[in-house]
Amino acid sequence: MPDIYYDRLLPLWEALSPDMQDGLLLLFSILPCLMVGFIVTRGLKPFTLVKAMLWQFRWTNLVFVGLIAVSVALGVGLIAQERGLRRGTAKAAEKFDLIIASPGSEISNVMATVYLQASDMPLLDGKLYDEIANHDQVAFAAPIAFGDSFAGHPVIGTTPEFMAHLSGDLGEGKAFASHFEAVIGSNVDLDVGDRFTPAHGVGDSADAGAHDGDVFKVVGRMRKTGSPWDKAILVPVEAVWLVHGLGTGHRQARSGQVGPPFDPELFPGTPAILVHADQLWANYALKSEFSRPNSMAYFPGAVLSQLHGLLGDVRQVMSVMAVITQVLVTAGVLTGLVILTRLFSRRLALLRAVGAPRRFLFAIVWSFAATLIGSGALLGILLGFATTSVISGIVSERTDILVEASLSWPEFHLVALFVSFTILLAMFPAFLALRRPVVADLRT
Amino acid sequence: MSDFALVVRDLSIVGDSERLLLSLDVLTVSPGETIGIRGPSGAGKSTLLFALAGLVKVKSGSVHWGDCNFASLNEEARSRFRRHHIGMIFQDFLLFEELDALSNAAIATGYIRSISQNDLRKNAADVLEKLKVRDIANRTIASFSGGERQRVAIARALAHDPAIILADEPTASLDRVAADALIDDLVALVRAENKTLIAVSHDGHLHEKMDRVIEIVDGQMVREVSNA
Amino acid sequence: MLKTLALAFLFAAAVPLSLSVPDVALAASHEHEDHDHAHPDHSGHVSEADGMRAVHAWTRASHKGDNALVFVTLQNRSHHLFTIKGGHSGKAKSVELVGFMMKDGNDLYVPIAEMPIKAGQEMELAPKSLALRLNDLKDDLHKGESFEMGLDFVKDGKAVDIHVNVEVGASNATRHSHAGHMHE
Repeated sequence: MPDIYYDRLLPLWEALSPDMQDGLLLLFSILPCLMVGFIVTRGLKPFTLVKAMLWQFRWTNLVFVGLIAVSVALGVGLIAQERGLRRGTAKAAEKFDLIIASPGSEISNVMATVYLQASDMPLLDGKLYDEIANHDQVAFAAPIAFGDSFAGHPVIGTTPEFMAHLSGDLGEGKAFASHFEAVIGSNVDLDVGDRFTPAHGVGDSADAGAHDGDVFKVVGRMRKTGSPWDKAILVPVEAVWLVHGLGTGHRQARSGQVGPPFDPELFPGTPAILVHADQLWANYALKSEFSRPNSMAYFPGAVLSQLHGLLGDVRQVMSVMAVITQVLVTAGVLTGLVILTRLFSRRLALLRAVGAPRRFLFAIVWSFAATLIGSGALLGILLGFATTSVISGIVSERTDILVEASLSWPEFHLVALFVSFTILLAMFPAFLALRRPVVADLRT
Repeated sequence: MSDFALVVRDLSIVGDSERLLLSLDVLTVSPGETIGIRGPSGAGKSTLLFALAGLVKVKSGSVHWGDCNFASLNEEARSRFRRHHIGMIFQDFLLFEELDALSNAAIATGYIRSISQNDLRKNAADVLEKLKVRDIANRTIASFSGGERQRVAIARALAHDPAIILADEPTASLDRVAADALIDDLVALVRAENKTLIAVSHDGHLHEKMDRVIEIVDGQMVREVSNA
Repeated sequence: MLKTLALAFLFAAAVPLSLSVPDVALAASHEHEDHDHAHPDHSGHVSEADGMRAVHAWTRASHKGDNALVFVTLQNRSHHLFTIKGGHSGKAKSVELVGFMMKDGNDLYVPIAEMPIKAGQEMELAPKSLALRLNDLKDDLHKGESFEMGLDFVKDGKAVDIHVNVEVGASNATRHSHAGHMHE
């Protein structure tokens, strides 16, 4: 038996661009509503009376529209916010192909290395660093040494290569070329030429006096990356080792050098190494090769994807609540419509008495409900977007993870389904309005 | 204008628990005739009017207009009959307060398809003119006096050019002066257009202007007076 | 102190994740010592040719017309370099080697031409890492079923075809189910 779905429909569907598929889905979602609207109002002009009815009960109607808007905004906001967070956190991690660290929690490591939420970690030794840095498939391997801070900004010891990898050309100034030079992120409250002394540690427990006498000079500023690194201060990893009294990682003759190669014997250690390979496949080979009893290799993207999965689960649970809210609000609004229809029953009876077809009455009540639902939904989209923009702005400001609010197909699909469903439900008060006794209503 | 007479025969209408509301052996209304219906409250006057409009269920008997016995039609067909052949006027006007006078008078543009929108609006405007309220036709009803409101309601009843006008206490909400002016204008209008008018009323002034007045007591026609 | 909503979300998400451990790294550390001495595995979970072992191939229940990812642990016990190029299966229109990456916050598997596996190296094809993708399935894959597919290797310039038995797990499985053949 030919499988029509698989043999005919699926290839056609897959030949469409994703936007066309989404557009068609939206059309299918809104189609029941359009069809009902067409059938109900065909050949009739109920809108003059609908306008009159909307105006007569304008304050009640505003409350209904507001309620629908808030419930729709909840659903829209949740989807948009989750996507914004997902994209923002992913973009912030985009430059971190493969991280090698001491075995432990990948998540803690991602937090510390990519999102700069520092935590104490065992160090990797010089032998391992040397092996990684000299590996055929490795383009460069950069130590990422965190733990110090200045005025709340994490001070990260690394190499010029990593700095270039992270930000490309600098926005201002030049790259660090000697030990006590620093390059700041775009959101650091310092200027090129300023000097500072880092504190040992991060946050409330930072020891401000531990590195007295070690003064760094700001020589450059990175471009905006949309990541927490915009608040970081990058210094040569040698400087971090020096201020902790651990040497430079280089032999005496090359003690002024900034960046690799380091001497495996003198390498003081680093909590994490960012590994960049030119070939995509090499990342998997390297991950496999450096997943050892004494080292852990992981893709921040894969860890993030798992966290996103959980974020998605949280969103789904909240979406269920948003849908329940929408259903409750809709039920409330439709009940309200039934009551409003009663207030309107004399006018409807009059229309029956002067010979208006039943479908005309149905069209009036239904169009009235559809207008409330439609405008509530549109307002809800705007409200959802506005709320998402505000929350995204706050999140971006606090985390330096650039979270951008946007509206996309899934929100519109959700709203279209909601509108279609409730507009079908709106036929209920319309049917009830038809069942009312004409003469009795005329005489009330 | 049609030449059909309205002929009611053996009409019987019952209410809750089979209580007899109206029982009428025969009533014939010629085309263009004006008829007043009077009687005490609860006598069955409005029931007769609503029966003629096809708005109440008839137990037995017929209401013929030409070949058509619309007492035997289903609800949708009776509705269609009203839409094309009957105009209705009510005691308390039943206008849409939020709409202007012309929109109220031309309300049928929303659902009548046999007459063009323009013609219907033009008819409505003409009737408003004849009823001397054309100059306020673009104002919303909320600002209108009772007399003005009822004139708009009459324009609504006539805009789609029906053969029969049914009026239920058209002057009961008006003061004497306004009521008399309205009666004169209404009667002049239906006579000029050769329409049948059947008006239920307690208003003696109205009945004086009718061709014929019938009196109903306890659901029975007890008297018939001709003013001719 | 939690500075942010976003990081709060991520941290909150991290707790149950670290408890439930559906983790690539932990899956990677799963040892298969139980198969060390077994050559032809009667249960069909291990295949071997020329020193290349393919252990515990699995995939997820999927629908006809969809794509499915096949995961397997490859152990190169020979003294030669093996390169995996892809695979073949009657279940799908094509099979290709793919690697995970994240694009715009969405998971994406991109084709990878080949993957060398050095002598003595173990390479795990696992969720959110490497996989063999069955493109355009010809039939539904139901949980509990299994099917055979070929893995295409090159060793010393010669093609080596290793057939594995792929078990179909739940549609949301994150790792191979060992139920029924634990060897403790």
